[in-house]
Amino acid sequence: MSDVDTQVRGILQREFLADRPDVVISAEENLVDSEIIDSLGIMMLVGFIEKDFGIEIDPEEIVADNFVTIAAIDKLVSAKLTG
Amino acid sequence: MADMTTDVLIIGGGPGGSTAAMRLLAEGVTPLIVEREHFPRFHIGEAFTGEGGALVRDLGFGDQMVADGHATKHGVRVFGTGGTANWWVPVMQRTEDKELHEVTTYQGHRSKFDKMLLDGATSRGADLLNGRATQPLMSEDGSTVVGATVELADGKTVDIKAEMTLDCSGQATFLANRKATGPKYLGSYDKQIALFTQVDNYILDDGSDRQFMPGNTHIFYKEKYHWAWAIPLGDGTTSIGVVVPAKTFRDSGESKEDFIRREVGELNAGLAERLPNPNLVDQAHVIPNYSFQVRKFAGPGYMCIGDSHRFVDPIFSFGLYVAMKEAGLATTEVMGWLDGKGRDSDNPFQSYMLHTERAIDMLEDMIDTFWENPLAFAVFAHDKFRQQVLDMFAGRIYDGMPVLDRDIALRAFRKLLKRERVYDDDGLYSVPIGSRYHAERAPLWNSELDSVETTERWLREQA
Repeated sequence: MSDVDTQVRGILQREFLADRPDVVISAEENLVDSEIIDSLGIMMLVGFIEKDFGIEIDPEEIVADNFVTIAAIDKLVSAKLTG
Repeated sequence: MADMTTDVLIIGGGPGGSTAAMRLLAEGVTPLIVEREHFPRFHIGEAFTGEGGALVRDLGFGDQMVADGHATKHGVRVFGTGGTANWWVPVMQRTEDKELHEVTTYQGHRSKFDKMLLDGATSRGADLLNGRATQPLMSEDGSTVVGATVELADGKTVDIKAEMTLDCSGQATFLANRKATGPKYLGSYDKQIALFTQVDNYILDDGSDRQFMPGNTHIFYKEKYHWAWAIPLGDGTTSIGVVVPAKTFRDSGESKEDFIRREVGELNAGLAERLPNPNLVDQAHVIPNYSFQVRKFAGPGYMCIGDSHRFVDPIFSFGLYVAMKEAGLATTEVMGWLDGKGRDSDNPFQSYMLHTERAIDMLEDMIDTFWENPLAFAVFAHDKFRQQVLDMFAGRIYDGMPVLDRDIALRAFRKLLKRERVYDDDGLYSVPIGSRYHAERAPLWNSELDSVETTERWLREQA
């Protein structure tokens, strides 16, 4: 697991799963289909990710595909951190 | 019947026409309104923006709105796909000191509202003629609109000469359809449609916090192009609308009513919970998502107001507000015209056109961003540009209204839409690059589609 992966899991746990500590998520799991977050959750997740990682996500990148799995978020955030 | 003469002829007694009449009366001008229907009559568009509510109060109808039983709206609650998590968009006014303050607006039956305004106009002194405008009258050299021919209820016609003709005919686009303006361009028909009706058993909120007031709008989201609204109308009925891709409705094979009933149960748990057994008290209607725009919509002797020159979206609730706002802006121009200003110009109302086009462009760019990039829009509206989106949703889109850093948000919308706005001096206002109003789309223009009813028929024929 990458550092980004771990940190994203931390955000999900803190913000969306506070009352469901036992949920296990795989990196490729669709967060909406698994009811970890809903559409409004994705919207809030964008803000949490920007804040926690200290990055700015371009409006063009704010599409559901970039936030619907931990792997997708990892890819987007890692590219920003190294780019 | 003998010819008639008036200073200002107003075609259409809807909110735009009635507001223009009352504004003119306040300036000492007695206008003549021509309206073909007898009010009250059904009209869609029940929701008011924040600034729209302020205009209603400014015209002196605040108390009557409450007495007439219109709902008091404090804002909009948007429910995510889960049906519980929600996001609150309050109606806020911004004062000159740029601070936001809580304020309310209204929603209710347009039949009642439109009648209240028209009655207000006539009781304040406007003349009202029941009839249908059939043709504009032109000056001998063809340069100036000098009134209109009106067909009366008994079939007789009368030529009404006027210094100024205000087209407040709404989507009938009286002047544009008769080529008295520049061309009318129809935007592309987007893929989504709205089906809507009224029910009498939607469970309204009844909390004490303004988020939970019974007059608030609820939006239930499912996915891009697929969501629903609930707009309380103040008398126990609620407007329920379902927005879906047209294909989804066609493929269902269901009647409009059955489709709405099933969608209410399935679209979002929050909606199903509030409306377990929808009891429809109105037939179901359907409108496609469409838009149109008229060039050179004001010129010697004429000005178009509201839907009679531009319509950007049937689903967001700006139409009523824009018509009433433009009626006020036009009145200032009309007073100048009656005083003799601009009589030698072939484009005397350039600043009116530019001002109103710029404002509607903002709405169009905001709404297009919502349709095309709903998630990015949500992030903008919730976080990055919350203040700016609140300003625009309230209707603070005209010059001189207090706003906060609006251009930053507009630039972001336009960057996302890959759209620029160009304003030139030839009456070709607001040409959006890469958008729905390119001239090559002119073949899409179909002047038969001049009202919601004909548009609805068009949609049925396509299906």
